[in-house]
Amino acid sequence: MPESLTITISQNAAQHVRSFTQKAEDDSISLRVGVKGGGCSGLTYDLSVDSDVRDDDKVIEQYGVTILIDKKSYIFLAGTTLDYSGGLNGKGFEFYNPNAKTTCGCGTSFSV
Amino acid sequence: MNNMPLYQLHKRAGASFITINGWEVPYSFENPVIEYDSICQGLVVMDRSYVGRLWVTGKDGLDLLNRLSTNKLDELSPRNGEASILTNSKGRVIDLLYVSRVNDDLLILTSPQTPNKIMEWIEFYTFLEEVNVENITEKFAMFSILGPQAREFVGELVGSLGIEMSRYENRLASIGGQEVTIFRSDPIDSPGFDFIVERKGAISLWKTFMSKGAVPVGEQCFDLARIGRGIPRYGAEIGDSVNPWEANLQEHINFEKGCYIGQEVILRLNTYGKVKRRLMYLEFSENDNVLVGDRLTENGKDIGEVTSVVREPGSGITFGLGFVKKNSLLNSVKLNSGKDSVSLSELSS
Repeated sequence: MPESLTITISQNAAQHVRSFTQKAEDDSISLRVGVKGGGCSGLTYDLSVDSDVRDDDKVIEQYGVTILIDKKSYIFLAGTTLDYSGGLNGKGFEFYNPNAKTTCGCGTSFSV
Repeated sequence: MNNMPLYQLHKRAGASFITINGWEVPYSFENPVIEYDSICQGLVVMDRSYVGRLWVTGKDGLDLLNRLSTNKLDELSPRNGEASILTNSKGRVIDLLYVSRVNDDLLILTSPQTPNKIMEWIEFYTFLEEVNVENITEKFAMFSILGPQAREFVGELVGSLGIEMSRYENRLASIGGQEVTIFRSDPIDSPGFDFIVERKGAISLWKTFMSKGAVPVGEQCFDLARIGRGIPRYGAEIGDSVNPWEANLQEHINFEKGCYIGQEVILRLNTYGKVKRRLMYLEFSENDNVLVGDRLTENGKDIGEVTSVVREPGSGITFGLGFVKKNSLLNSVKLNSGKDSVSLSELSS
């Protein structure tokens, strides 16, 4: 698969994920990245920690972080970069998704 | 063509029929005047087996529907329900759904034209959630008891639970040894109870209603009642060219629940005064042959269109519903197709 169709996590985002997975003291914890129905534009991004890998999960390792993406979400997320901006003005985790044609005002919801 | 479960029985009873989305549906039984008088003053029974019915199972059904539609559904307790509008990301109406929680599952009533479309919509937005949707429309019959005396009638039939049921609530009951789901959906605003029963038990249930004095009515009577009360209908006033404000559906929007598909657009339309037309009640002076699609004019300028029209049996008064531009003055409105002058009234919201 070409590089652009994988899901990428930035170093910043990876560091932030590692900081809370290490706190959990469980090496099997991964970052689950997915899509849910809802939000103003139709689809919203969903981030959670998960220690169960499903049969149809796409598994990506980057900067010491394991990312799990279910098959259906992957269709809408291929090519996405996950970044993190902290601090007072930071927005937390941010998705740069080339599939998103429109996004809602707060940026958490998109349509394709 | 889909056959109503009781098509032959209705035919033998003298019903005339019209086709709605491939269903042959009773239009009227023998006397439209008595039918209309009964729905306004007494009670009637109507075979609405063509209304779309979906059955949703899986623990995430309420949460998902809450994220997809305008009303707050995620905290519905068993037996309770809500009407909620499914809208797209442009804030246009896909359909008005009547959702009721039956134990851990959900019963959804849709318009006759939309059950498969809505099922596909829900499935598209199902990712890791446990949600399964089944179209049960053709497995069951559905009869509605409508009219001001409906509560008392249902109370006599199934006891106090019929009287106690609030709007959008459902109960399971046994009638003549058959299990029946009763859903108070109030489709024409006054108390209205839908009885959903397996097809094999349909004749027996219908005969029970008849033996207890319910007057059978068809689409003509239903349309007279719903137009007279300003209730929009899919295909006429509801569809994907309309937003909830235009169709006077705002009572089904929860403004505090947070995000759902279309929320941003729907709120912006109201906040910035961008709703350009509204649904109004129309009464026509000359009772000309008014047709759906006829244009409304004011001093020669086009201000809207007729979306539904009926003629009251007996009096012959012709009335309807229509979309009218918001900035029109509503003075001397006429039909551009004839000499009728049209009086317009606001709908209650």
